[in-house]
Amino acid sequence: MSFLDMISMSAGNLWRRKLRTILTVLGVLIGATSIITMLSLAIGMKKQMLESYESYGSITEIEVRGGDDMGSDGSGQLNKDTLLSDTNMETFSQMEYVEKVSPILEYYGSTKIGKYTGSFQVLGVDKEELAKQKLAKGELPGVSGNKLEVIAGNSILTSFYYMRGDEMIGYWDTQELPDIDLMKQLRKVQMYMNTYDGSSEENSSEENSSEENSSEETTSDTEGDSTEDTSASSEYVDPDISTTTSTQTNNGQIEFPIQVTGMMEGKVDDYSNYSQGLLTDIDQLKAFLIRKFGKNNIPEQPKDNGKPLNEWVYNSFKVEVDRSEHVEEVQKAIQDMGFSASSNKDMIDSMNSSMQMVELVLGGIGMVAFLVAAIGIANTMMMSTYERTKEIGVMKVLGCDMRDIKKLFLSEAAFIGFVGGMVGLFFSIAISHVINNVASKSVETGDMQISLITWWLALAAVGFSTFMGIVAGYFPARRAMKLSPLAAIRTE
Amino acid sequence: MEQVEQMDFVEAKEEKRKCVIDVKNLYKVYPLGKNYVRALNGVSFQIYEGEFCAIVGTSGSGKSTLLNMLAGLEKPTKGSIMVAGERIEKYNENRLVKFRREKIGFIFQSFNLISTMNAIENVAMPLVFRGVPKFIRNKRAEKMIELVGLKKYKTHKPNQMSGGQQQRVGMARALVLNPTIVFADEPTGNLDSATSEEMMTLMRKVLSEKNKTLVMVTHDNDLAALADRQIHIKDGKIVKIEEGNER
Ligand SMILES: Nc1ncnc2c1ncn2[C@@H]1O[C@H](COP(=O)(O)OP(=O)(O)O)[C@@H](O)[C@H]1O
Ligand SMILES: [Mg+2]
Repeated sequence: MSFLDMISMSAGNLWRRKLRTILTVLGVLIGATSIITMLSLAIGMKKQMLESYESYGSITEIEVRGGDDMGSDGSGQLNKDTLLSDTNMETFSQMEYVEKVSPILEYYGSTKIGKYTGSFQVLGVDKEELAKQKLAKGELPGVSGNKLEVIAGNSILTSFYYMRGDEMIGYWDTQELPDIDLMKQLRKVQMYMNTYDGSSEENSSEENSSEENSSEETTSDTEGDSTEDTSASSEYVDPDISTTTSTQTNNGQIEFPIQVTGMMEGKVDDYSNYSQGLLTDIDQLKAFLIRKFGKNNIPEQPKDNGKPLNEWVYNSFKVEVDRSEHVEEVQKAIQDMGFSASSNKDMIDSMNSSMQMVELVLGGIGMVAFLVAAIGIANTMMMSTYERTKEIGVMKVLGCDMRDIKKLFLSEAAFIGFVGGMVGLFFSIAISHVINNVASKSVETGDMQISLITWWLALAAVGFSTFMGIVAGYFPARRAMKLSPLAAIRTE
Repeated sequence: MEQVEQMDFVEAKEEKRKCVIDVKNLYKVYPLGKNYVRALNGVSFQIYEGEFCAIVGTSGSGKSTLLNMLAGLEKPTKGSIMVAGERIEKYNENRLVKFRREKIGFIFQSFNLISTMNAIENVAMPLVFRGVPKFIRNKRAEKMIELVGLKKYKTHKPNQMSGGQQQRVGMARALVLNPTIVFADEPTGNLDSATSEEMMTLMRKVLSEKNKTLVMVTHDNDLAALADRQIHIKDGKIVKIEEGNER
């Protein structure tokens, strides 16, 4: 029997009992719709969660900060073991599973534009990381001349404020952004500095301020009542500190001439690693620093007994691991070496396991409806073999191959499964749209995809539905195949 | 005297004719509760190519059982069956289906047409099972329908035809595969006597034209008398073999 004859014959048989076929398909349709919708919710929710985590950094990434005392043991002697130096960077990159280590140089500073003051980080990252940033306008920094070329984070303007009496007024108070074009108006940034000068005199007085500067958003928060917990910036806007720093301008503040060449893409309150800073190529930053301050006098670089080191010391490393399963091991190894290391691994892990539960529950609910539909198919096909006993007998007498009879019934069952799955898929797409529309109305951004039908879900659902039909049709098909040809001859 | 001579003549003729059915010592026993029913109780005979042979007997004598075994629809309890050159008694179901598809045509008492298909489609059915493309099988089916004189009813569904017409479609269906042997179990059992006559005449005409062997079961002695040879059965045994009118 040819394939085409098989298909047209089984379709004809189904069409003969239109109502029953339609009802059975309806059952499959409901089953398929329920399972697709449920899984689309699970997928959509998982994706949303992953996306929200991704803004905090990748899941295969470990952030390494210096040891407890950043290499200084208080006696002016440097402990080079836990310094984030080029040497240690090389050590990390030799570790198993580590694919790449990228250094980050950080400076903190503030600037005044008109009545506004803004404070933020200047970050030097490697070229690849810089190239990954999407720009809303402008271009990536090129070779810096006298001015350090940077791109500005998408939410950097939220850290600008002005004084009204004793009050600081900023974006978080007014929800209004200052009308500043950073690409034109940002010319220079005052950097807060602490030189790791081994010389005794300044050391003690500096230790205080350095502590306050580098420990993020801790000590000074209580004093700046009006400011929210926005960011590291609030520390530096604190009037107390600005007075302290101004008194030690000679060694505390250094001016960087800056050129903003581009603005990062994103809404003003989208958070990401770099959204509140100025970002530049670390090699350009190094060259700029050497050119401006001389090789032996680079700010923030520690000195060993007053002598400059002959390598760079960074503020943090990003350690990229090959697979997320290895993050824990590498992280532990780095911590054992005396560094502080953190990753998103734990967060992602717990999310994954809770998502798995959600998937299981949702999939299970969908599966029940599907199972009922499968029983419906089996029932319909079984009825059909009883009804057609005589006809099957005639076919066998006339020489229809037993395997063809089996295939005929299987393809009828598969047909029901396939059509049900297909129509169910279209239903699910419609339902998914409705769910997303409703969900989107409930959030400010107006875009919420909690139900997501990926192409592989669509494919798998229709395939599974068809397969389910075949499984459900298997026993009826076997029964039909084994019917005696004598059924044709017996007269009732 | 004359009869003896004639017998000799027939015998001699049969020697030359090809034997298409050769049954030896056939038994069929059905279990019935704790007892057994001997539907066939040791049957042996031959049927030759081109012959029209009737199996005659009263109801329950075992005619259908015998025919079903010849057509490979049922397996014997004991004995050997050679049909169209094949020893079918040991064949499994799959092999039997193939055997039927290749060598056998079957006409039913209750016509057994597929109610959703028109005449052409019904006649073309066995060709579908052989995998013949639609274009070719429809052409062949049309030809067969014309042969049985139903040219005007090609696209009629079974419920739009009389019993006699339906049985003619059944006949066309049995012949469309060009089988070696056609079996018919009470083909006129559901028809009135006038139509039965008509039917038998047509059947004889078509089959002798194509030199096909026909084995027909009937309980009607008048119909059996039309055959070349009658095999009389009673209680599962052959009681006599009667030569009828010569072709
Ligand atoms: N499947 C069966 N099971 C039990 N007994 C059967 C079966 N088929 C036929 N018989 C018995 O075998 C005998 C012969 O039946 P059958 O060949 O149909 O007779 P006929 O066709 O001559 O009327 C009957 O007594 C019948 O009851
Ligand atoms: Mg009978």
